[in-house]
Amino acid sequence: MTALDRPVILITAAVYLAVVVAIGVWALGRTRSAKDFFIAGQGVGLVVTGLATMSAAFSGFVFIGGPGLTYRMGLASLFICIPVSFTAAMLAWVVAKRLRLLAEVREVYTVPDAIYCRYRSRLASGLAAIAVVIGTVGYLGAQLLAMGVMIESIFGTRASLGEWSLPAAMAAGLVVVLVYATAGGMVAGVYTDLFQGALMVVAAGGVFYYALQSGGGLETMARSIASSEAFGPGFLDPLGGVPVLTALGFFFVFGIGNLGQPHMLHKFYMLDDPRKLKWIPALVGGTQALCVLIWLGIGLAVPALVASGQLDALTNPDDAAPTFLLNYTPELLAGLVFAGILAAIMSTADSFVNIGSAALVRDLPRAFGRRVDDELRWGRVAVLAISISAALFAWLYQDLIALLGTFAFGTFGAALAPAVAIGLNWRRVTAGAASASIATGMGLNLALEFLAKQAFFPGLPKPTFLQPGVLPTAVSLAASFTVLLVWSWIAGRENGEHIPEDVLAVMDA
Amino acid sequence: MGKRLALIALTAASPLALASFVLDAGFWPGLFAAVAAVFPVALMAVGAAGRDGRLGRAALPIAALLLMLQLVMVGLFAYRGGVADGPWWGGLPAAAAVQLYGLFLLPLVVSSLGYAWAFERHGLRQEDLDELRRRFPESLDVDAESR
Repeated sequence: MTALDRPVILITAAVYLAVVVAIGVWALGRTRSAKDFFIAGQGVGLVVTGLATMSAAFSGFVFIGGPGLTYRMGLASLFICIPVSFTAAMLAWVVAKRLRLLAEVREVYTVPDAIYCRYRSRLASGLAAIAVVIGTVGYLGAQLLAMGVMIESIFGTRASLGEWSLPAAMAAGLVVVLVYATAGGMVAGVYTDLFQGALMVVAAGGVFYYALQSGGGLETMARSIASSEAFGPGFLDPLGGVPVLTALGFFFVFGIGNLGQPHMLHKFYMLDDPRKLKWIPALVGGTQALCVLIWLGIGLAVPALVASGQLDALTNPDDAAPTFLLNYTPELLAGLVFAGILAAIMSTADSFVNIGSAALVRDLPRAFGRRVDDELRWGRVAVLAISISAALFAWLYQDLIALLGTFAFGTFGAALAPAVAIGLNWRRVTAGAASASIATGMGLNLALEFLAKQAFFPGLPKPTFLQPGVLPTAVSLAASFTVLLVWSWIAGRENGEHIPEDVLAVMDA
Repeated sequence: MGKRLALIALTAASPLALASFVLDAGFWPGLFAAVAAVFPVALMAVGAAGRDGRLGRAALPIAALLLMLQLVMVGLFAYRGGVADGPWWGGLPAAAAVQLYGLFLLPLVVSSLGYAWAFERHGLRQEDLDELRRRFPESLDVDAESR
């Protein structure tokens, strides 16, 4: 069944998307400067910042990729989303206050900006900008892939276009994202996040209810899955369905890597009053936990329906969420969730193209001692280049949305988390330590991922020195922390003379 | 856990994590589980510590979280492989219940409310913010000379 057979879904989705487009048009009129384009004019309140942070983190990766990954590997996949139970508080304790206060004393728009202010190093800031561009291409690619899967499901293009269905659907999604992001910048992104986040929180409860209903309740679903040949007991064992190092690697990467996600860190610059940070963890963590119910509900319901013979086995695990929504939820709810997911993808994509374009037109030129004259105009040009690169990369990656997202998340985390999280809280960290850590995290992640996946050069070795199931991103994250911490203990400077006075005041506040 | 102790814990934990990724021995996955649970809490301690390096009020929620995460890791290993013949809690096999209720729901309440509870004394006080604004009334460009 496609959405074309259920017109209420299409109408609901169309109305919803019309509102999102209206927000984009409204935002266009409010985007007059680079500050508006990159950090929404730094005039955003608690609820908007909280929901925008949540929405930026939760996108096609979580809503489409998550249930797909659970379908493939069982409850071990939940270690990706479960750290939301503490990551919001961790972000607030470790980086949010420092970043927001930094925006009081400096005109910071990006994470490489913060790194430049802290370390006074073009090299560290430039390396961070390269990591941001690479991670952005991966993350944006995951969004475009998710959008392609959604468009395929809604319009049933797979039957008519065959193998060209996904690229065509991704191309259509790319055009929408480009128009949206080029016009509205971060103002559009942040207010779409608010609208979409609020709706997804409400819709998540509905989807979870219908997921439980469809399978006859949590225990019935679990017992059905455990006794089936297709899935078996290992599906329900968090450390059983995959190697322990894979399951706990997800927990490690997604628990710690949050500290290096520019699309989340970036949001803290926008908060109008730093004192409002007090309730950010409750707001972000609470709403993220509610949205995880979509992943959990569909992730259990679809295997249970397949196990009980009510649904055919999926050929593509990423079809789990669209299949469930189209067949097992009321049309109105399905329409809202479809549109909500599309808006989530769009707002996250919007955040990423803005962050990536800022890295290209602000941070990288600065690393070479240059400055772009018209940042707003060139920022919009950069959006185009990044979006097309992301679509191509996603198409060539040839894997599940969640795994592409994991690579991108890991790139950001491994490259940026130590330099930002430890560097903003510990005086001993020097520019040399930060640069070495960023280069290690980014380089190792790229090298291990490439060696593990590439098939072009048969002579190149596979990373067989790693234990089975180890995630390349977990290795690079641990390595970048090791480099920064050991370097700082050995060669760091405690007196703070290498740190500007205003930045030092921010670190001590 | 003060700031210095948290930094020492992180410095020990990161190479141990690396070792568990490459060394082939039965205890390394268990050790990695302990590392994965210590790491976020140690980072929180580094961020929450005041100028004197102490956690003050934030120590309570952070210590509670550390205990909770370590117990969850023990539970995950203890009930591993017990889906068919082990206990079921709340509609799920014990290990899955530990994952969902122990790692998802409990830390959410403790960490987010704990942060708000400690915020007035160890988060950001109004007088500290006023002092920062008084000392640095103008927002400088990113690459301005330091002041």
